[in-house]
Amino acid sequence: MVLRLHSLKTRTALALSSVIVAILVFNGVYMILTKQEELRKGIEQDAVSFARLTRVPIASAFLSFYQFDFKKFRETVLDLLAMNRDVTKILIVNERGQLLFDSAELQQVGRTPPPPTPPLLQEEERRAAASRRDDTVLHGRDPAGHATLEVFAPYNQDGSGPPLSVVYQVSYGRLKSDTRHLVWATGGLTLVSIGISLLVAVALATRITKPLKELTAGAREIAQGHFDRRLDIRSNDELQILAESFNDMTQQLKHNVEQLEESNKKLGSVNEELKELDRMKSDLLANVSHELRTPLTAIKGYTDYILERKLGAITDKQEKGLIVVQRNLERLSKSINALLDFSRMDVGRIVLNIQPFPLGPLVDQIHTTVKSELDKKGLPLQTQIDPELPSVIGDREKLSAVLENLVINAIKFTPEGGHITISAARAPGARPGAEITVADTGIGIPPDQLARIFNRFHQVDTSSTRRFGGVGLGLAIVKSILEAHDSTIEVESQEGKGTVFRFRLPVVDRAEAAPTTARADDRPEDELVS
Amino acid sequence: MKRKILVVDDEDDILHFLELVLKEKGYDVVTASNGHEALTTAQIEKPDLVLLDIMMPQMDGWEVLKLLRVDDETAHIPVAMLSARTEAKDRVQGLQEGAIDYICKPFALQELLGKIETIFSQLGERGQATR
Repeated sequence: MVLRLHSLKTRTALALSSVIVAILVFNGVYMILTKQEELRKGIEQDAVSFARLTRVPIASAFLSFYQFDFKKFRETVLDLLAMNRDVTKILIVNERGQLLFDSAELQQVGRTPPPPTPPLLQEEERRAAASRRDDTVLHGRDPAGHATLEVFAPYNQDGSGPPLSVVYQVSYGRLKSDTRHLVWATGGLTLVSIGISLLVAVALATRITKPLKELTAGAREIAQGHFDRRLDIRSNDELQILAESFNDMTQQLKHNVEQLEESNKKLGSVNEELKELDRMKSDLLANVSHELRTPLTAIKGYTDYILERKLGAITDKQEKGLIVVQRNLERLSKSINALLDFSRMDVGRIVLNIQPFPLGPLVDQIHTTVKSELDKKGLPLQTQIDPELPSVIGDREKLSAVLENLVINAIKFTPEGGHITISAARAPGARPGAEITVADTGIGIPPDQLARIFNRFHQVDTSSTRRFGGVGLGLAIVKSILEAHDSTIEVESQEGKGTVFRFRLPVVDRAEAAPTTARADDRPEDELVS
Repeated sequence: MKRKILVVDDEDDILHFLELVLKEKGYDVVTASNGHEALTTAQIEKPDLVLLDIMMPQMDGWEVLKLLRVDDETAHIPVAMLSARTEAKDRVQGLQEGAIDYICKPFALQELLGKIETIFSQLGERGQATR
């Protein structure tokens, strides 16, 4: 984060300063080039003006004094030459291009006698210039290769005397030194400007990124949960608007978080209340069971005792009556046990005694258990157990309760003439398993009730309690036991056609199935004793 | 010598029924219908076995069991809990607190008598072994 912000600042500074540097450098170069051109023109114009002004005195001095008073000629020429430093040399040529005088001679102390025939100018161009009647400017190069300028200024071309041309050789030496000067001055100025602009750019970048920094720091703090943090950015630009929106957002966030916390707290206390209620309800169930069991103990005890003839002889009719009492006491006792079992399950965990056992004998046993109920309504119970099915793994007693509850439930809701089927077969899937279904041809369950049938005390409608009896715990117990087995119960139902309950259990691998059979076969007898 | 059993229950019907059945079976029976009475009777009568109900008003069976265990004169008396509470945690608690058995109501008569006989025969063996 810090690094990125830093680079944002640097990038801004770089962008700003590169634009400024480019402009300054372009300006400098442009200025230098323009100035150089101006200087060059100035030198040329100076030379041309100088030639115009001095040709007459020089030429006339040449004609008057060169041969007779060289000293005076020399002084005149030197005085004139001193007036323009760019002119390095003066030549005097006739119209044929013959060199009559070279100012280099002036450097000598004495006058050298002129050659009998004056030497001819070498270059055609120069000779042509010498023959012209008006001024000619020639660009050339000196022996060292530097650019030079020659101005041919004709004199006496009108025929008033011998026609001559004064030739001014001009050097651009001044241009070079002046340009160097210019470059130094402009360059220095540019560098100073660049330096200042860099500082300004950095300062600007810092100013631009400072609110961003503040924004970032603020956002980070808010992200850490300091919702009271306010961003104070007064940059009068989009960033200020952003900061204000950010503050509004934080305010909203704080509000929402507070609301959330409050509702969480409410939920928490509601949850506590629910837990408390649930605990109270479980306590109540336990107490109710106790209240039911205590009188049952006395009733059962005395009934058993009387039937054992311990309180004297009883008649056959009395015995028959007491046997009915005893049987109904058993049933009442079972109901109470189911209730208490369930309240216990609800409070704590179901402890399972997991063992492999074959389904066949279990289903037979259930058949026996529910026989009287089946016979009452004349319903057949069909069983379709795959004979190849290996032993299933689970708590035999608890699963027996599951099947019994499902069958009792089916009997309750299946009218006479229907039938109930228990089937078990290998289930497809990666792990070996058995799929067990209990199907009936009963009244079915409306779709909107399907999800709720596993709730405690639920029956499809309250009138069904009266019609079908039962406390509505059966399916809830089924669900709890299967969940403890890491299995789930599924239900499919069509109103008026019937209901299918389906669940899966793991099975042993075929190889292990054999030795468990014997042990499991003994179990039903244990069941009867307990 | 007749074995003496102290039966403690706040329900008179059950108390009388147990008294009837156990006396018929040849045991000497004393009864108590609350915790305090149970403690006093236990000290005076020195029973060979206490059948103790758990859910009683004022002083429940757990407390009675604890106090019986604290008193040197009654500490050695075996106590079998007799309760309508069938939850596993109650059974475990009973055995942890030193009860010799835990019988759930409603019990079958034969079951109760069988258990009492078992307790006495075990005590007899143990008593002979220590003496």
